[in-house]
Amino acid sequence: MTEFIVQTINGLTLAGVIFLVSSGFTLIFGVMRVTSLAHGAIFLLGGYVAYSVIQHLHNFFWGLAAGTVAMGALGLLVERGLLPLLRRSEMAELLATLGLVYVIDDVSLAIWGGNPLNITLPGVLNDSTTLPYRGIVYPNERFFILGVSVAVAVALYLLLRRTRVGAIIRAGVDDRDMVSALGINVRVVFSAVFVLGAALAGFAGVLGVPIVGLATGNDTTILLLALAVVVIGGLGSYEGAILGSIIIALADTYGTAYFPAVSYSVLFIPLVVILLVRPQGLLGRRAAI
Amino acid sequence: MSGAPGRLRAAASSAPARRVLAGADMAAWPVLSLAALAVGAYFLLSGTYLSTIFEDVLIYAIAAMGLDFLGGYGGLVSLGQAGFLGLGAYGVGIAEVHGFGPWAAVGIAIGVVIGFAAVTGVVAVRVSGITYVIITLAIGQILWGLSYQWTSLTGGDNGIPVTTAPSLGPLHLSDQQTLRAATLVVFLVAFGLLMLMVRSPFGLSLRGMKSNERRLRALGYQTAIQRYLGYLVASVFAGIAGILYVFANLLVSPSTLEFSQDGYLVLMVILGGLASIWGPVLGAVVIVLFQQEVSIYLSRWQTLMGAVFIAAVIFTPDGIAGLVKAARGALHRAATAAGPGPAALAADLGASPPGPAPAPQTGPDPDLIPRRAGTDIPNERPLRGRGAP
Repeated sequence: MTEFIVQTINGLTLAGVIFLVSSGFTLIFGVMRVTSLAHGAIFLLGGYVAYSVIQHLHNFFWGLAAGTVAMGALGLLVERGLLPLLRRSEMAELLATLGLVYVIDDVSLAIWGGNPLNITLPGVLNDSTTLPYRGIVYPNERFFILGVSVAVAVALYLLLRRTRVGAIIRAGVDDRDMVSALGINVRVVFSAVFVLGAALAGFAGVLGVPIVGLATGNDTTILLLALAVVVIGGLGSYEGAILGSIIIALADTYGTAYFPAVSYSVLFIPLVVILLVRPQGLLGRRAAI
Repeated sequence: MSGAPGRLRAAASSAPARRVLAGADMAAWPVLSLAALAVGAYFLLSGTYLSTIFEDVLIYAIAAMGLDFLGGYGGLVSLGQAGFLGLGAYGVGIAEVHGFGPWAAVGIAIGVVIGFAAVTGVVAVRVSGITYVIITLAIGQILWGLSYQWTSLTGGDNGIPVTTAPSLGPLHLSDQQTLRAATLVVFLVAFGLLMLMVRSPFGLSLRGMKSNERRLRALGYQTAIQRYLGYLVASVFAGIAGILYVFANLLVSPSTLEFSQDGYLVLMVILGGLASIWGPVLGAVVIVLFQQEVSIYLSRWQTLMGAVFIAAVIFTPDGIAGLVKAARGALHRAATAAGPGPAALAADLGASPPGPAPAPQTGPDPDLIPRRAGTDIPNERPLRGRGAP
């Protein structure tokens, strides 16, 4: 039972990180219909950038900020520099971002090498807490990660539900042409959403280091988990990203603990089933793809 | 001999030029392909390190041709093709570990590939476009996950060594030279099969489906069955490539079917040219050369490859094959504009006799004949963008 509780908390912290990645992915897809396969690579690169900044400034929070801002800037570069060249073909966008994965991964390998790196959280965050229940000892960093993820999720919710920008983004998911017809500059909205998505991926990449590590290959895993999350939750749906993240992260954590031989493979079975029986996802409002 | 409008106009403009061009075309292609084949076979069997490179090219070309068949002609681009390559390879390895002979292992591997494709195909062919990419990615990842995590069956990260290759009479495939020759034969058979299938009613209906599936369905085609068969064909091509792969490398490990490998196969097809028979072969040449040759001189070869690929998606959505076609079109226009000048005359000499090809243009202008679905379907290009032609 103790182990089950620990695994559940593990799963929820992982869900926090995966949510941060997938929320950006799902917004980008929902608003722009762009399937950015580079999202995982951006996640990993964010962590690497933060690692270098922390090496120099010895401050985790500067690293977090740097990883987030740098990936937002990269997102802007991709959205303004690459996507306009692709004739708005969904397949060309998907393939070009696939090419970008090879470039980002290789550049990261050149700069940071192939050995796994780690980021240590400062001060009290690096200690452990003994929980009142059954004396479970649990690392503070994971509570911190979970807390920050929830805070960002709430902030994102407020942004999407309570502000004019959020209303425009949500309207963009529902009917892009109508938004454009209402006189809103869709180009700016696209850029904003793409930058926001990439920045969220970079933020998650830094925050997730204590959980998933900082190593080549992580980008693929994260990309595929995010893909599974947004397909299950519903492409373009914020609530769906929360639900999907919890499902996928718990399934991954329990699976790794209790049936390690197939834990990764079974993650994709719900994805396949959802695509077939409810292509709009659990919480998607209409057939998004 | 598909007639681009420009070429038709050019051909109609002057009869001698038309004869020259058609003759040069007819003569050039068999000669070029035979020359390429001879050069390839020479390097393949030369016993130098180039042999292994060409062997890899052939193996990946077979898998890429399968991908091209469904992706290029059918419009269903798979990001899980390396999974089936790995399945074929693991099928042999696991069967041999369990005491089966090499031929039995090959049979089991093919059976497993067909079986898995038959099951997943039911699911995959119900979707198209981006959804198909995602679902095949998931299928490929399911296979990768099993190969990596199910260590009692697959040996996990270490993979499975394969020690015994089959022999046929005096031919022992454990001899690498014999294996390379056999790989060439399998490749040629696969190439021929692809050519036949593309031109068969089956291939034509796949192409028609890509352009306008609803119309094909209205015409009474069972499009779901066609897709399903196409999926089986593509998977079996990859499985066969996997079987050759495992005998060539004597080892199969999860890295054979990881995500980047799925990506490489897509790169090959896109770079070579979707919906072109020799496109995937050219793409395989380029990508394998990148991996094995460029990597010697340039440690950042993967960056270069990624950049080349992005450039290809941007500038030549039809890949190398599209470039060649465009270059040929430009040459033809130049040749006709200049009239039968010295160059064209030389080509005429080289290609004499002109052959029966240039049938005189009788009847109505072909551009004015309404296209009949199923027989003359314009090749739609999936990378050309939303709505725009």
